[in-house]
Amino acid sequence: MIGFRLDGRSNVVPYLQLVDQVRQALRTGLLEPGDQLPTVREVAESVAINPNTVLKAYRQLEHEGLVEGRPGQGTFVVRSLAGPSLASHAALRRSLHAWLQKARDAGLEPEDIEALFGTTLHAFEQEGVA
Amino acid sequence: MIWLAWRQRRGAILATAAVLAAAAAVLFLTGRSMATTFHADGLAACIANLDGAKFVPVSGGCQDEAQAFAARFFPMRLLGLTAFTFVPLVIGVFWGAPAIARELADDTVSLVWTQGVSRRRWAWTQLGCVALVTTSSVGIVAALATWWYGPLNAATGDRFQWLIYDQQGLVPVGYAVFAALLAAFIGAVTAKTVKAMALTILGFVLVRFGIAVYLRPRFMEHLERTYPVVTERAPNRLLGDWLYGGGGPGVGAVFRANGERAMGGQRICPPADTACFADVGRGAYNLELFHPADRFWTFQAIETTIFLAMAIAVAAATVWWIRHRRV
Amino acid sequence: MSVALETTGLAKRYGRTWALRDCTLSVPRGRVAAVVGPNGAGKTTLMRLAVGLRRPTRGSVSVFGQAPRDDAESLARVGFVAQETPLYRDLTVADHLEVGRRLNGDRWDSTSASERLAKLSIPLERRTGELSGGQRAQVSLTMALAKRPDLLVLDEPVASLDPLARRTFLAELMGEVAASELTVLLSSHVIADLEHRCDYLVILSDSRVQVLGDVDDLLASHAVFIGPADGPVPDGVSVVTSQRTDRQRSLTVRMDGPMRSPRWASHPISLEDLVLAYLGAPGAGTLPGPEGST
Repeated sequence: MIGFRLDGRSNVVPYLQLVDQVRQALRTGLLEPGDQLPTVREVAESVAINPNTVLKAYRQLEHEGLVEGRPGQGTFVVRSLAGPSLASHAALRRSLHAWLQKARDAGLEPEDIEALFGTTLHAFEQEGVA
Repeated sequence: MIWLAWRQRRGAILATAAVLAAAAAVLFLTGRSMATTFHADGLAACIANLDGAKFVPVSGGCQDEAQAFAARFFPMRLLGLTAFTFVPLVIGVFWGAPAIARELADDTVSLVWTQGVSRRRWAWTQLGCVALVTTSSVGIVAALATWWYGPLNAATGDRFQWLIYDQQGLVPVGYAVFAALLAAFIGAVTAKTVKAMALTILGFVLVRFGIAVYLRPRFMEHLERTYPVVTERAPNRLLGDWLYGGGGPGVGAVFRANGERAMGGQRICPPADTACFADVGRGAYNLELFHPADRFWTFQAIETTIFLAMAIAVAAATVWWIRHRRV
Repeated sequence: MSVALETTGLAKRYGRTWALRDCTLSVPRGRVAAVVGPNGAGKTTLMRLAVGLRRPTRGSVSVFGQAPRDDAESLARVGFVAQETPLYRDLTVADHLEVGRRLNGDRWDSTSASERLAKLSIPLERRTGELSGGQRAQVSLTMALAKRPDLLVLDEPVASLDPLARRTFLAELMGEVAASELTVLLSSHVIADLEHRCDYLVILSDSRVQVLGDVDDLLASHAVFIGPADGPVPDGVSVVTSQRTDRQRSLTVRMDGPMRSPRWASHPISLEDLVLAYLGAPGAGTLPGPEGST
């Protein structure tokens, strides 16, 4: 079952944070069609937020066709966001793992790896724009 | 709500029961000792022989035996007087002062008044509970005191006297319930237990004094009794009449044969003792205003009713205050 | 009845002091409404008026369309926890549940009350006088919730709780709001506690209502504008507070419509900052207009 958390300092309004977290879970395969989302009550209690916020988030997801509320039963995932790219995710994950191994062997610490990845990704994006 | 009212007082009730048990034991032991002596010394038999006579021989109406008995148990009488006098006030204030004051001070009323019981029901239940425990605890003491005083009453004839009358029979319960509900009322108005206790003591003493001194003698019309100064028989004081007055300050007065008031008090002269009645004359007589002893229980009932009626009025005022002014 | 709590010109005076003046508000059903303001601003008075523990000097208050009355039916709809979470010190927790059961009859939910206390590990046989502040607050809340009220009024419920206890308390409260169609009115000094939990806001200042409205609407219509230290303020805004250094100014504003200003950078505002801004600007106010819009 997916767990939610709220970033109080984020500029994103709470209900959209929840929506994003569900979408993220769908993308990574953590949630699959047929899975049940936690009840509004469970989320309200665990995150300590107003249940209307949760309702709003679930309604938004329902509006996007990702989930479906079944009266008396709960809210269930009906569509996946993984898509055909899920398969290539596995391949990407494997090559990423191999690269990480190489980086480790080269003596890089996790912070160095993150910094290297971050700057390279940034430069990559810039290239894309240009 | 009744359950809550009892549960709140459970500790105090148990403590009171323990104290009462101890007091009862003391009373039982001391009372039994007096009762035994009363019979063993022959005083009981002597008094029985008098058979309720209104007049008895000047010496031979068990006066000596009675005096001896009373003197012997004088410390007991003193103890009884001091202890029993305060019982109604102390017990009444104990139950009544914190009843509402404490809940207002602790603000537990915000809890109980928002939990589904109306203020009216809450107040009447609390007050009813106070009245009930007060009646029970003081009732037990009063019953014991009435029994305990038996021999002393017979030996002194003081049953109808101020303070003695107040300690036995029904009135202690009336006093106590009034004190308790007065304390509850003052507690409701001031929301302070100690203040309620102090003001109640003050008010109680004033009311008690007023009623005992000014009202009690007037519950019924006095009877009048005259008897000669020169006589071999005198009124039987052991009966327990309440001598009230004789047309002047002090109990009884002596009048000359022509109706002129000679002095206050009482004069009994043996026929042979001319010096004794020289100044008032042979035809002088004593005049007494009194309430006969058999009115004791009637007076008790009247006075108890008065105090209970005042108690109910105070209780109603308390409920009114809580409902309309405590906002 | 879609309005849980409504007051009209509500005022309360103690002796010569006005504790609350001119208070007109309307809290819709199902909301979690926060009442904030400095000490002495009238929060406690407002709450006690709402539950019938005080009678108005002027104006009126109605809960679900009825004035609070001193009878069982009216009392049943409202639950209240006072600031000091008063309990009968000599009675045990179990005794309190028994009191609730006997006083509330059918409406009392015994099972959920015991379950709640068990979940919080609160010993039933202990006297409430021996419990910690947090445990007493939880017992008080349990008493109020177990009578299944339609409106729950909490006066500074977490004031004396440590951070963990506060979080637990508020999480439980949100759970209860989710479970039943409960309307909550709560006051707090700690605005951060209210963030993301309250969806209706009442700011009391100097015994009057200063700000009133939907939290989402208020946050959408207010912003922090950062711009040059000198020069005119943007058009179409009402400035609530203004802070300046020698280089720049930071304005907390209410926007009267969508707007854009080239020289000013706008940032969304948090509930806490909104409240602090208004509390620091006693003359300002935001009340719903005739149409109900802020």
